[in-house]
Amino acid sequence: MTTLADTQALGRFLAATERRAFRIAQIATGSREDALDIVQESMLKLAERYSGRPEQEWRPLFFRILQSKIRDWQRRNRIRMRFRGWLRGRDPEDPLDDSIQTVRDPHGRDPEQESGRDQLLVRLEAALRELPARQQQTFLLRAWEGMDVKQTAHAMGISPGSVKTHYHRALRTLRSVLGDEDE
Amino acid sequence: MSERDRELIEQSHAALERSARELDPETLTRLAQARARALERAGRRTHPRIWLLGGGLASASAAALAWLLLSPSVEPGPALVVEDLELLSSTESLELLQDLDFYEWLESDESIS
Repeated sequence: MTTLADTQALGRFLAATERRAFRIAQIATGSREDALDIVQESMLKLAERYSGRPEQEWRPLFFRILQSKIRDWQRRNRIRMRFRGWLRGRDPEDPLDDSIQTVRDPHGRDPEQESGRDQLLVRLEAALRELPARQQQTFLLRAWEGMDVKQTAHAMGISPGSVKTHYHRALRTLRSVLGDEDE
Repeated sequence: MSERDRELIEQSHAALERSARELDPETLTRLAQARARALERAGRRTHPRIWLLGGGLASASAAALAWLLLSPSVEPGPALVVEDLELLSSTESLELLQDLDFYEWLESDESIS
């Protein structure tokens, strides 16, 4: 049963997590509005179905829900992009049409025009958006959220072996892209 | 992991942390609203289904007890009555039912991915 103390603890958990969750979703979608929707749906699902569960389970559950919502968004977006490509008479397998990374929200911030934001972040975000979705999310969960291989595998619903592979490839690509620019 | 990887991870972590700290006021407001909605949902979640289940189990326990005690054809020993009551009124049943919900979701989620 969800008590007042549980609700207060849940509020503290969400307040401590929501910004990072939003940024993870924003990097995945390239859209502030979609990222806000994803975070809100994740919060609602956690609150509705799992708020009565032990507090230490909230984090893995929340990130599992968040990842699931991000994957749903990516599936829907892929279909939307194919449909648009079909309407324009383009090859639906054309990588230009299939790239979810090219979608930008009309209200989203353009990193290039953001004054005062550090250049590393701009380049990092650009590089992250170019990564395949699973490599991107593996990197964010491991390098930013500080999850270990097992926790990342649980959150993403993939095997620990896949996590290691995605993370290794993500690091290699980011090192190459960001490292080359530094040199 | 190489020194360059560690450096990359540290720099990325710091940059992403900064970006999360420096979110614009409108986004922060929207996040706070989303959180408030979630907490309202959690607050409302006084488990009507659980109360219903609890009530159902209590009624079932009472009916089972009445049946065991009053039925002329069955003459259970006192140990059997206590054992049955423990089974029927066990709180584990409620937890199991809650967990079923969770496992069902996990299973459906895994089957999609």
